[in-house]
Amino acid sequence: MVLNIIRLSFGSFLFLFIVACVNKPKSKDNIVSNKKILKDCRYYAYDVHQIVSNLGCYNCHIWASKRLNEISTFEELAEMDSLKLINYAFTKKHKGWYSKTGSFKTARMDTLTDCEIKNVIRYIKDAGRNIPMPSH
Amino acid sequence: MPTDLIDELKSNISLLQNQPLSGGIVAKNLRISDNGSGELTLYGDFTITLKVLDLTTNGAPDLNSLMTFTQQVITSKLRGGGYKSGINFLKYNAVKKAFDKDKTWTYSIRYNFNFSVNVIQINMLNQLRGNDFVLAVVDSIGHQFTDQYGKRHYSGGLTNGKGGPAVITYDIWKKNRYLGVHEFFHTLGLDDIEDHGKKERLMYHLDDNTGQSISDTERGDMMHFIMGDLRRMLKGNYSNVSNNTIQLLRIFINNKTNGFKYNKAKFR
Repeated sequence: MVLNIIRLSFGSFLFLFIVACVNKPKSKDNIVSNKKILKDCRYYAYDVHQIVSNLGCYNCHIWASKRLNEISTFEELAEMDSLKLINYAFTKKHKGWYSKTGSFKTARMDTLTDCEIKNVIRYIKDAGRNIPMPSH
Repeated sequence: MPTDLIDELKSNISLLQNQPLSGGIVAKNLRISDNGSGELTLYGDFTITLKVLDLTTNGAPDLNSLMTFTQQVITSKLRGGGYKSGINFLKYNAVKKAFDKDKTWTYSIRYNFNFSVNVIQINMLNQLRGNDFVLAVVDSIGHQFTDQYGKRHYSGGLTNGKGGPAVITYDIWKKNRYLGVHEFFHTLGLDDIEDHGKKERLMYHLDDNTGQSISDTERGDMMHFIMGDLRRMLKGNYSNVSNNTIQLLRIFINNKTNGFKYNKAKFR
């Protein structure tokens, strides 16, 4: 009985040891690298507008307050929480049209970099902030 | 009753009574032609109206000349239509003249729009409608911005987001006659350019422009903004919805962070 308990304990310890080694945490280098990319991520509204324009967001999520359909306007997207927006826009919605195998795969929504996604989210959020556009 | 619905009703009543539609954008004779190979050509006659409100303390003697110049440049920049490829949208059924909700398609869009542009002066706020575009002319703007290179600039003009009212300093407009067009194109959805390699572009907004060109992409983006929604092309006519321009202008011009100096007695 005692021998069985010792064997079971040893087996569990061995199993946990192996699992701990196999599921090692992501390399610190990768984490630092991602942080560096986002730190160096520059927001330039004109370039982000080009991304949004190429994705074709405005084709369905129209400007102006009036809906012609059941799809959210651009201003309504701007009111959404940023994290919700990432899930809503880039993964769950759009019926897979923008996935790597979807009918709109050339719009490369699924292949935007972290920096580009961050900037697109900011661009969408800024649309609801009425930020004045200055000219010299 | 929502303002949009009221505007829609007014628009429909105007159409039924054969009265002219009014507002910043009025469109007639809208239609779509499908070449069957992924290219849609959009046709329509558009009237764009920009109303100019003089709020300067000492008057603006060159205002008429600046407005005429602005009208001519806007007309010339919008002329020739626009073209945009890679437009992802619902599939168009040319027989039913409707977009299929369940099928998608990637189109090239050719904008074959005719534009008539009006730039007219107004003296009172009650001459503004909710769906008008407006450019207010003031004595000065205290607002400053930092460009992407870290340099600070005073603002000669400020536009309150896409579709919103714009404010411009009279003296700076006199020095840079394209400034009114630049601001109006913000209203039509374009962003500023700060790339030193693109100084020849109208939307370059730092102090050393070498030209005033508009790219095909920018023209296509403006056409799309003016049209609003491809499905609107099926309706034949429309005028743009209310942005509550008067209220937006009131809030914008009284926002102290913008630092507008103007004759408050004229803002009535």
